[in-house]
Amino acid sequence: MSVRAVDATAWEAMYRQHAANLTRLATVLVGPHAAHDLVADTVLRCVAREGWPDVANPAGYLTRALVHAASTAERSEAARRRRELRVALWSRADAPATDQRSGVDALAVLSPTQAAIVFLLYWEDVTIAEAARRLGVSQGTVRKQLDRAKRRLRKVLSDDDHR
Amino acid sequence: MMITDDRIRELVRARVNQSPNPPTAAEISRRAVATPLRSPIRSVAVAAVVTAVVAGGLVLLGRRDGGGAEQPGAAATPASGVEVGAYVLPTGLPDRFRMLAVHEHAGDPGRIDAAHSVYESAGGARIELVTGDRYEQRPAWPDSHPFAGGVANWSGPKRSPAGEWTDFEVEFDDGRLAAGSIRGVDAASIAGVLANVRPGVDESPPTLADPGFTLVASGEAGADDIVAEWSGYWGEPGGNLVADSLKVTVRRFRGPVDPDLRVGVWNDTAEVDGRTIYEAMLGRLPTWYLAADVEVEVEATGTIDSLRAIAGLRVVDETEFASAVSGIEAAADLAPVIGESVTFESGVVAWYIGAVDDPRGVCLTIDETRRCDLALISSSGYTEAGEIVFSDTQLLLGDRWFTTGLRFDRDGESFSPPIPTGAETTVLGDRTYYVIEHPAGAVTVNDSFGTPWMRPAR
Repeated sequence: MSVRAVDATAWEAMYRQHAANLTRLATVLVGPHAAHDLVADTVLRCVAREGWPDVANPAGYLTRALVHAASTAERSEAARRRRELRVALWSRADAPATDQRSGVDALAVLSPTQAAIVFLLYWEDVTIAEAARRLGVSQGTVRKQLDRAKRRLRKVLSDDDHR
Repeated sequence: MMITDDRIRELVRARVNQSPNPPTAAEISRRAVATPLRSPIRSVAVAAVVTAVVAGGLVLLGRRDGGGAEQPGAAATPASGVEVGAYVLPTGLPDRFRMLAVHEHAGDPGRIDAAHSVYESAGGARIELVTGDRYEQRPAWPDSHPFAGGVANWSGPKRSPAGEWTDFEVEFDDGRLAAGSIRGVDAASIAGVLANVRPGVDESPPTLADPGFTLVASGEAGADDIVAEWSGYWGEPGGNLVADSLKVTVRRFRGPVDPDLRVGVWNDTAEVDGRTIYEAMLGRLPTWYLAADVEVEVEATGTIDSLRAIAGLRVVDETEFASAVSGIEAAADLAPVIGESVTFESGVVAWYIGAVDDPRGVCLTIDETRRCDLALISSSGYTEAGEIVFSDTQLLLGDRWFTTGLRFDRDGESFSPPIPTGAETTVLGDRTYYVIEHPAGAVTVNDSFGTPWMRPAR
């Protein structure tokens, strides 16, 4: 394989600056067990692209790539099996406090786009306009997806409360 | 039940607190370097020779030259094997795939698998050799063994459903490198086997001067790849639709095409329409191989539709291929039903081919000349109901590079990128058309998101 882009050190400085937040986003998207690989694979794929040196907003590019990669993984049957297994193992192994457990499971019901929007708005505290810019969607889409995310969260938390 | 912002913030914080340590830049680099076999993320120099048009979902790819596979090198003649067909024709594609481009890409001289060879012992041990490449950041090999003429480094074994294998690299005193994987050799014997590796000469792959091993397959050095790309979309109801792509790379290969020859490469298989597809996790990036008469490497999302398209690939002879090409080209010639033409104030006219809500390509005329260069739609997005939301096209008129596209004003959820800054726009009904000419000499420009557009190859 060509490692043209991977040889370059320019991306490394950029990556170090954003690595922690990208990993946090990945954790929200796919959970803590798969986050590490998701970030590594996505960054590797991006920086190896021929057009990478010309990307004007690398952090935004990587954010969208992470969401896309998470979406792709979610569509994979194999990934689905792994996710279910992971959730099962997670549930048994961690046995966290009820509140935290509900939170973990609740976020898992969100689509990658919805999870990314929630992360950007509630962790990074960016505006809807900025979230739209980073994710490459319209502000209207952000609002609609946020509304859907809230409804999904409300439902899953309500179900938990009634158990 | 209400859900407050604080509650959501609490949920996110709980999840973020479980975040692992980020992978380091060095670790990411190692992932690239430590992948000695084929990888889906390689750079290829584009030398587009063939561009075909899809009509009615029929897709094809293939070679123009029709030449047979060449011997990779005098020292690397397979002991057995078959010359595989160089033409592949998919039998069908999912409906959601709307168009394709087929290119012939020049082999990337920098890629690590420019030439490779596979040796097998009577006892079933296998070793695959590829021409190594120089990296600024080299992996730390836990095992090392100097020998006369070089040093062998390896790490392993690694495990997969296909068995255990060991990655290695041999650095010769003259600076040349060989890399690869070995399987079925006990740890104590690896150093001895690797000491018999010899560097490749010119375009030929490295060789193994070990009498216990026989060459069973080899890949041609410097061969042009055939790369076919299908554009499609996928998405979940109520969610955004995301552009999808399926990229198939076919290369000439001598020897029995047996996934088992590819040392320790696959970690999963899928049975689709009666055919077996092998998923390789090279560098942890999924690539799919079709075990057929031809080695096919596919980048795909892994959706069942993608896999079905892969499973449908079949080898055809040159006659059938040529017939399919002419049929599709004829269909493309006959098909230009002008769906809509758009005149911009600058005098640029965009002629859309196909239905308004299903454009297949765009012609542009400028300066009142009647020259109309056709380009396929480069990217597009659709709603879950299949309604187009946007399309963009890269197009050359002479040496002038234009991007033109349209945005539908739909009340949907679908992703629709903004119109590029500085573009000229015209509104027709619920559609906003735009055109923008890029600076002379520009090879790459960024769209409004910073995502690069590439100047199209002729």
